[in-house]
Amino acid sequence: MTAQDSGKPLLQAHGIAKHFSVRQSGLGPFGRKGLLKAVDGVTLSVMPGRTLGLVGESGCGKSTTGRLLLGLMTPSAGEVQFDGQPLAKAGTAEWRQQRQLMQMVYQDPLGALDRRLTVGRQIGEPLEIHHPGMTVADRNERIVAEMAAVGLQPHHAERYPHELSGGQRQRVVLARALILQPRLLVCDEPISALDVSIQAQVVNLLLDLQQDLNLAYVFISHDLKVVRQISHDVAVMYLGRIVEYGEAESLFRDPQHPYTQALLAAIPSVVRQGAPRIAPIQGDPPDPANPPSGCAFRTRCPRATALCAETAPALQTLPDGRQVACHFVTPDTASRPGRVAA
Amino acid sequence: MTDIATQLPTETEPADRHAGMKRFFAAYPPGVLLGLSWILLMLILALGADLLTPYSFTAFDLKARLQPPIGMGGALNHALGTDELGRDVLSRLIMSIRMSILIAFFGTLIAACMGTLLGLMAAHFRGKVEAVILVMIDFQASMPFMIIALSVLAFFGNSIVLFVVLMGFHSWERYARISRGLALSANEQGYASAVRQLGAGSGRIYGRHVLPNIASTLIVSMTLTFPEIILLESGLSFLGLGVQPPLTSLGNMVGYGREYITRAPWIMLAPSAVIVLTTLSISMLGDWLRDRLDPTLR
Repeated sequence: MTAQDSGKPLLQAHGIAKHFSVRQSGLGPFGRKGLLKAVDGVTLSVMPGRTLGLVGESGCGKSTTGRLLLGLMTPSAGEVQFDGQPLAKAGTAEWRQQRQLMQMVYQDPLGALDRRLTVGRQIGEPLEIHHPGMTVADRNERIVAEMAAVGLQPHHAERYPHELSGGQRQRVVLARALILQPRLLVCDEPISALDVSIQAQVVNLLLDLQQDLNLAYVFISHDLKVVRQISHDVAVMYLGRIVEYGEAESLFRDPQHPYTQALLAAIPSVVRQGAPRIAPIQGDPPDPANPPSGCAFRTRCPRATALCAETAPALQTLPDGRQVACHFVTPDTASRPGRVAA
Repeated sequence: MTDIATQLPTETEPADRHAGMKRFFAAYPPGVLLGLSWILLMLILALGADLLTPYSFTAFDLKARLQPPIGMGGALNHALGTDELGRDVLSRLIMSIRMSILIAFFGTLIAACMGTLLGLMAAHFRGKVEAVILVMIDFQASMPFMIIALSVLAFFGNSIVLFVVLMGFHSWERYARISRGLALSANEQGYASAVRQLGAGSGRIYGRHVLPNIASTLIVSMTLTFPEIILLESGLSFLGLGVQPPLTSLGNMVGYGREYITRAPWIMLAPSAVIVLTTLSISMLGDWLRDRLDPTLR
């Protein structure tokens, strides 16, 4: 957990954006074509062996960001660098080679597994793809070892995905992702489809694996408690942009952006004591195909003024390294902990 | 009970033999066994037609014209009776089975391969390739196949090879639609995108994962088109555009037997019964096969 690596970042994203062309709602098939900015200028970096938590409401672009970071989609703008090298174009041979270093863990493990193949075969499949010369005996040895590492019994190898429990399936997905010893794992809501008791098991497994293998995680979730437990850094997203980005513990203790404050206020008993009560956020986020002018959060922000409707706030770095995009949070005002200066 | 028997297989006790039988019939229901035996019989007849026919299927026996079959007052020398020219119905039936099964089998195979390939191509390449394939599918689906068949046969004449290929063009668009839709949904989310993300090439994704997963749907579709092709062939032969005399097929027999339906119904009834039984058997077998191929239903 404390592996503080001050070297080069493993993964770096510079202003990545993903725009989809959609029809405006309301007019059905005759609607005007619009541009949905699912992700709009996200810059972040992940150090080796560290975890970046990506949080936000549904539809804020977390998952799209995760897919962009892995190169599963080509960004409309910006660039992702892995270990100093730009990611290859999706589908090319070079891109396929890069898969050995970075893997994805899915929200729905049953959907991510082929129900016609035994679990053992599927865990070994990355080896078949990337090391076709490997003998069957060697491969089976690796499969059993990897299954043991994620806490599966050897006899599970002969089972089919539907014969396993949800937690076991997620372990299978993890074993498949880890068998090539990648350096980065993007976990897209890896526990939200699991029972609460199994969530804890999987989170602990992720923490253990990180310690043993010096893995870097991008952990996408809307479960703030788990994100707080697992992350070193946290980026809070709202409508495709990062609104607050910083070291996890201080961000959760002392949120600066009104959106982060509202998000944290929505979880029971985390920041309640002592701190002034902030009303949990109301309503739904605006339509991302038709975002409000200026600051995207102003329609739901308790502090919004005319300035917010005119100009979108840029991310500013505070003295402690935190980045916040809000007109009311500047390096001068941030010294007062716990509240936003008026 | 069957569950316990599966877990503890011992062969010595007689009580277990009962359980074993039960298990066997649970896995192979009697209807499926009957269908399977019928199809096997058809295949044996088709393969050994030259050896099994008691007479040449074109041999006349003008003295024994319209002789009824055994059971309707006939004699042993023509077990299923004779037609208006005194040709042995049993011999003609066996040759017809061979011809119809050949046409339906290869027709289905051609349609399934072509349709699946085009569907997967559309799902893989998207864009222009997909647009072209979709237009082809729509064209095929909107045009009554009978009209296409009639015009092709009218322009290019009739040969067995052309006829089989033409049958292969029947219903390929169904396979193309099914495979495209299923491959698209697999690509978009789930196991196929997960495997692609592992770094797998297209061959592995489609060959190892997508195709086996959509195969059950395609197989069911094949068991639906197989009878359809038999019926289509029968229809075209009935119209005189399919298999040409002296060659014979099931539909051809039904077509020419129609004129004698009141005086000698056996000429038409024998091939009709074979058509019904074969199509029924194949449908039952396809249903059963679909369940057997799905590990989640085991």
